[in-house]
Amino acid sequence: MPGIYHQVLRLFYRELLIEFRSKEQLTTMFIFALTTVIIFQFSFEMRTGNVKILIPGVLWISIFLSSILSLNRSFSRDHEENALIGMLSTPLDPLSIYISKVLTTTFLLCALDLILLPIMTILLNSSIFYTNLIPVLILGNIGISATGAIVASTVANTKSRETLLPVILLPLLLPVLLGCVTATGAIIDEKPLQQYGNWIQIVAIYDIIFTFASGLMFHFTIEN
Amino acid sequence: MRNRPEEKPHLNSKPISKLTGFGVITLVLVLISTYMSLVSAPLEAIQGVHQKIFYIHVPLAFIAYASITVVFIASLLFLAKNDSKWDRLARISAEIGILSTTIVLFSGSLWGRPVWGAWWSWSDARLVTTLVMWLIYMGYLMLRSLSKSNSQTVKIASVIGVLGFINVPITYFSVYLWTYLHPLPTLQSSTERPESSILVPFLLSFLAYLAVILVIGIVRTNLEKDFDQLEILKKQVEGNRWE
Repeated sequence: MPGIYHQVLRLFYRELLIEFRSKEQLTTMFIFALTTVIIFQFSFEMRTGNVKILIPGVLWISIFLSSILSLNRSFSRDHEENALIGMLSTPLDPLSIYISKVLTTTFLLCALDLILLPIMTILLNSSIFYTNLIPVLILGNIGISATGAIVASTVANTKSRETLLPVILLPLLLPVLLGCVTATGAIIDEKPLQQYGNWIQIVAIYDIIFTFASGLMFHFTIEN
Repeated sequence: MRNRPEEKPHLNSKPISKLTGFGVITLVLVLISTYMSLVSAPLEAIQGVHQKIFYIHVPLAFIAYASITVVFIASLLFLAKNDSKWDRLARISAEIGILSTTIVLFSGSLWGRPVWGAWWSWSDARLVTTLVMWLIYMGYLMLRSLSKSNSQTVKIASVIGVLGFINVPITYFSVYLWTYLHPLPTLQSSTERPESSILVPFLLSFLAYLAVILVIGIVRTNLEKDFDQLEILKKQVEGNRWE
């Protein structure tokens, strides 16, 4: 049996292959995120006049809600087609399944960011391309994926998984939302790193703690 | 409360059970503490009569946080030892935690209106953290009630019980940092030490509410045990039917 590093790579390749063939998750996420941006634009523009202050919130809410669609699909697909039972019947380490799910979700969210940022720049008429935004986006996406993967795996066994995932996941992600929105706002306002560095640290600490804790407990969610 | 089948014949021979005795003591404690906190404790100089909410709000806040800590420890023990008693304890503590957190949030809001001038303040880390904690553990209870009761559900609920607790300090810290951007509530911190005329009714209220929660906990535990017993009996009946 290959080591965990190879297991993760194989499973990651498997996830990407499924996505490449079906193009299901990324398309749904993108259309949903785009709809969210448009809804926010219509809802708030007339009241504020200044769209720039809305950008951090709109960006992260779009990413958060889109991630729920992706996570739900990723886990329910494995359950529906008994792929998980197939994987578990091999001597795979459950940790490698968790890491591969986190990597795939992070990858898809980063791809979504790449499409969403230029679209938002056009639709909201303000540039949001800043180099400092890259670590914030990556750390935020890892946080969403690390917590999202374990919660999605937890609720995948239940009848009402579509409703339970956002109900349980969103409160758990509050520190990531606060950190990412505040840091993105500071970057767009071109403030110095000292003013938002703490927030990047909080999101990084959250990522480390939740990845570690979830990795330790993931096997409980896929047993039986 | 339903009784276990084997206990039925003994029920009438013990009209006053230990629980009833404890319940009476609890009722007396609640009455005394309510009298002391509402009547004999002095009016606070600045807040006046509104400060009386302190005697219900603070003890229940302690109990709420203690219950959630119990959920965390019991969930960890369940995951480690796979013993259903720990899961039962986690579930009951989560229910008690939700009940006390709900009262804490409502009483805090009622207290905040006259004192801070607002029902709610997003700039108080404790408030926001408590609300987020309430949401997480409501999700935990929803997960348990919306899924089939089996060993897998119990395990996944325990995972959420652990993750929810880990999230509390991170949320508190991030909201605390976030408050630098917002004005702080007017009466957030007080360095004055409470006098004994306030401290005694407070401690008594704390004991009284702790006793109420213990009574609820014991009743709830007995009920859960009865449910387990019922499940076993149902399985036995099913087994006999097939034989």
